[in-house]
Amino acid sequence: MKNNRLSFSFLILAVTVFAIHQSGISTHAADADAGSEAHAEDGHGHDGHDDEHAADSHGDDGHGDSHGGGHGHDESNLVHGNASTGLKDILEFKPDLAVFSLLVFTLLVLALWKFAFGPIISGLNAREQNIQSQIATAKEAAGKAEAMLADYEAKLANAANEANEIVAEGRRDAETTRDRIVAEAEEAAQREKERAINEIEIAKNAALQAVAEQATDMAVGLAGDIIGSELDRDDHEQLIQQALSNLDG
Amino acid sequence: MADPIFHIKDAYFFEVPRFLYPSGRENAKDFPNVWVKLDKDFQDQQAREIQEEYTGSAELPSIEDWHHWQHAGNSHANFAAPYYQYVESLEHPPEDQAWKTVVAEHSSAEYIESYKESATWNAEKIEDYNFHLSGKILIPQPFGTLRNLHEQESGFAISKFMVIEVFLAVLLLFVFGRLSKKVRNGEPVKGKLANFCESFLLFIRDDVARPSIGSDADFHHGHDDHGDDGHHDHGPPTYHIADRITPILWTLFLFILGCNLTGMIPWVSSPTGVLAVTAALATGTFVTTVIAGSIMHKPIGFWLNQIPSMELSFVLALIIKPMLWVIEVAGLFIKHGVLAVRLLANLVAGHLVLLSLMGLGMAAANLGAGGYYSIAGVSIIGSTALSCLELFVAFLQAYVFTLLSALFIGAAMHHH
Repeated sequence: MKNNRLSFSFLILAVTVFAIHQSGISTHAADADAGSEAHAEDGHGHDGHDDEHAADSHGDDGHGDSHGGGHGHDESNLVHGNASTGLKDILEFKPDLAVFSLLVFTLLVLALWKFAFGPIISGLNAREQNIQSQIATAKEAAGKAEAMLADYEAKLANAANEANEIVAEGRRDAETTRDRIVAEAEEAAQREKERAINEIEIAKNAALQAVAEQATDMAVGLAGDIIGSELDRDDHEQLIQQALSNLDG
Repeated sequence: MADPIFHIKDAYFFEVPRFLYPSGRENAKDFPNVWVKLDKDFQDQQAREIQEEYTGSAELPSIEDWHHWQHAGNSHANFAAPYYQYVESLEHPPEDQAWKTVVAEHSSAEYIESYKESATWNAEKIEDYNFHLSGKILIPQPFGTLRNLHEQESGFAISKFMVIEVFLAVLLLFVFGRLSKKVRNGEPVKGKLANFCESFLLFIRDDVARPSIGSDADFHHGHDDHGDDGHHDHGPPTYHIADRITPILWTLFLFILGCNLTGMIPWVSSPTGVLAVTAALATGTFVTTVIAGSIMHKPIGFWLNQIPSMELSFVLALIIKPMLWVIEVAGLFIKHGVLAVRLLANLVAGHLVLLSLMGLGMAAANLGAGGYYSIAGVSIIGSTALSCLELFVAFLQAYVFTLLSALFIGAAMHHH
């Protein structure tokens, strides 16, 4: 790719050199020299009369000789004829051109000011003011948004706290309730137990009484049978009491 | 080969390659007056008739003497100079009324026209003249007469650079007039060209005009000691005063840039390569400096403002201040003069170097093919490289001129 470009450039260069060569011959011939071959080549057929010119100028105190080397003076080139001394002065000051240039410049300043630069200046300023006010508006909006954001963030944080609180409270309530229920249950169980124990006690006592009475009766009966005497009521009672206290003991 | 200086200086024709604008004039009538009056046959007839019709008492020199004078010296200084000019260059030229009348009669446009009607030039000469006039587009001269194709003689002659300047002015008006329509409403511009043009303007305004001239705050309390550095101004600084100068700087920059760049176009040359144009532009800056300074400080204040403020005792001040004033005022003129010379020198130097490189190739045309192709190759590569440099210089010098103008104008507007 790079090579291609390089060779292309050289091709263009070569063509240009050739083209200049061609035009160079004619330009050179034209400007410079009376009687050079190149001039004749151009098909102007100047041979004869160039010689004549050469002869003309050589006739006068040898001035032609001083221009050897193909840089002779062409008498038919009147472009710079009757030159004044300032013609070849590079610092020559031409008043007419200066005045004209100043005039053109002044008119250009005024015309551009009126038709182009004045409107452009005000347009640019208007644009800048627009931009500045837009920036100010944007800044204001951004400030507002920031404040709102902070507000919402604060609110959000509050809400989270609240939620935590609620959860904690719920937990606390639940715990209290649980404790209470447990305590109540325990209490109730205790009461049931106590009652059951009482009832058992009573039942036991009643059973013991019954057992004692039956045993006494049986014993009395047996004893009466054995001894053949009947025990009176008081003896009866006394025996029961005795048996009971034995049982107790 | 014609002196290369002619490619830099102003002329009264545009030069293009011969084949683009061949001259096919057929007889004396078809040639322009400026050409005819430099013609040898015409001048000989003119000389003879002046000698014959002169009624004064002075002794006129012979035609042979005039011919010798024409060809004297090595520089062809008197080539194609008419007889009456030779007579007037003598030690004791005739000064009587008869001489003036006869010369005026024989150099008038009517005289030349009548000669053209009657003259019969041989074909060889016409062919020769056509060869030299080929490729030269002569500018019509309705308001003046020419001395030759490079010099004006009388009246107002329209030159090549004048045409280029007017063309540039119209171009700038057109381009920036269109831009102004897009910018006017304060909306950002769309389009490549518009943005391209606007970037020039913004660059000159933001990087040249505003920093050099300063913000409005600099003018209101720039030099008073407030002790708070002017920080009581909130918001961005404003530049209403600088913006009043900016259009002038814009025009300066664009006009100079345009004039510099025409030198890069084939067959056109740079108006900024001659002193008259750069001097006119520097005058524009100078006038702006004086007017802007006079508006800020009143006309007298502007000139008094040229003295820098100094703590001096009364006696010392009486001696030193007038001397300083003279130096500063001279400096004011000199620095604007240098502005013109700097631009001129940069442009001319660039053109001369380019011309000598091109000339190298041209001069080698008579060498053999080998020598020619190698030298022409060097010449073309060198010319291309230097053209790039020239392109850069064209922008740089337009910028430098504008920047210095802005600094001079800014300095005149502030207190010293």
